[in-house]
Amino acid sequence: MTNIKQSKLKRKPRILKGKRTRSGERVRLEGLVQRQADKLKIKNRQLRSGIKKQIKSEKQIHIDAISIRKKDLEIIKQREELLHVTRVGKLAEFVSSLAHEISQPLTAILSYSQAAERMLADREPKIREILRYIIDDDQRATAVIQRLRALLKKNAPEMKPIDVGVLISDTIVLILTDAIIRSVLLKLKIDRDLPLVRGDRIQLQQVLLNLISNSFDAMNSISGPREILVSASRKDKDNVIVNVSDSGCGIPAQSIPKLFTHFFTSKPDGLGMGLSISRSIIEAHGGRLEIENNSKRGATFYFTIPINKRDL
Amino acid sequence: MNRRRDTVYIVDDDISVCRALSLLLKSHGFKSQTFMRASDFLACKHPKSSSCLVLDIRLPDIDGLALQDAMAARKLTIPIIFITGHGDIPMTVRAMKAGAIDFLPKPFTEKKLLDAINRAIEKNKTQNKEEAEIARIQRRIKTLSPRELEVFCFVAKGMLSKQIAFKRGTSLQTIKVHRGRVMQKMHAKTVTELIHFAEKAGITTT
Repeated sequence: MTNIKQSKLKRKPRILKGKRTRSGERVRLEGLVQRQADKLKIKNRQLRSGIKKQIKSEKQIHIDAISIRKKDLEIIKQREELLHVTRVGKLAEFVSSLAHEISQPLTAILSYSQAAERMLADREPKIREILRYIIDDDQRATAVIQRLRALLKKNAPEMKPIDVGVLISDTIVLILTDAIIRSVLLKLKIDRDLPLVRGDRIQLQQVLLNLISNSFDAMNSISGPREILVSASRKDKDNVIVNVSDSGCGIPAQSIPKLFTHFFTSKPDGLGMGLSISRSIIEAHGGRLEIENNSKRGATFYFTIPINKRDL
Repeated sequence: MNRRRDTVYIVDDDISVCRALSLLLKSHGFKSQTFMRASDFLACKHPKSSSCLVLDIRLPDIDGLALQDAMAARKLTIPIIFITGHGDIPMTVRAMKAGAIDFLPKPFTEKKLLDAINRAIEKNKTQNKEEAEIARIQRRIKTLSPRELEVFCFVAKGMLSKQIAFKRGTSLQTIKVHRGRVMQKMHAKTVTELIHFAEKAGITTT
């Protein structure tokens, strides 16, 4: 009994307690909800401002991206321009070689006909008439060649004082993407206090690009590390020397003498004009463009360029 | 015009161009000799008749401009007419500066070629005359005794007999005798002529 009572007694306050607890609990819960709501509000606010910031920074990123793209575009544009110059240069050189090849037989035909005409003196009027036609047509073809030559007359290079270091780094920027795509490591070594040289910036850039892209091609199928070292230093009191050295396949000895001639190429889609144009550019600058196979691997192309002696 | 003795050398790596030019020149009465390589031309004998050289710029061994330099180094004074299939202006300038007669872009008419050849041969005749005269003067100089040569040099420098006598420490009479003999051996009628001979032989500077 007592046990029951006791239990009843014990239960009662429990119930009472429970009643009280229920309402207290509600309050507590309400408070809790309130607090949670407040927290949520804060979180919400934070989130909102976070989002705002995010949007802002995204906008910034977007703007950055645009400016990067602009820079990219500039580089691409420069590259395109240079490529265009190179292509036009190649075409010009190609046409001029063609004109040369054609002018040889035309010279012979003209001289043969004029000799024959003269030897006939006043005999065989019919044959002399035919010879006249041959001469006239030969001269018609000559006129075509002369027009072509006039059309392709090279613009004289614009000679200005040039900082070789700047020239090299400007050129490197243009082929950096290419280097990354081809996983080529580009190294630069430019001596300090290099004197200015005298030259045409676009043409010299064209030469450097040609040499570097040749190096790229020479390393296409090699398994070892792909490295290009572009270096510039003073050669002697009158010249600066620029080296483009690669770890590619090198140049077979028997190809070296033919390397700088027109139409010589080892590439399936090459025109064989790049190096011959490069050499003529460097020679027009009063320098020399040469090649040497490296002792270990690859080849080094190097050119000299006279130091700017004017404006000193 | 008698051209039998005038030789035109032709150096061009295109055999057809060589043959055609040679035929054309033959029809005009010139004797010609053709070479495919610059070195063959340098190696051949160049008799002392009036001649000229029709030279292609691009050759398999050394190019035309280098041949021009090599000829200058060997004192081979044969006037050059350059012919080229490339209308190359810087090369033209270089060649003309180094004394070329003309620079003809291929193909050229016979008139242009003949004009140039005639000018070149005329020039070569003058050059040959000049060279012959210098050779004659030098032959005469060789006949002078050491003492006479010395007096000749002093006279060439514009010194008077008196000054020479003083410098040599000899009598005026002796110098006058030497001087008379110099004039005689050198075939000079006047002192001016003698000085002119000295100039031609390059004696004034020494």
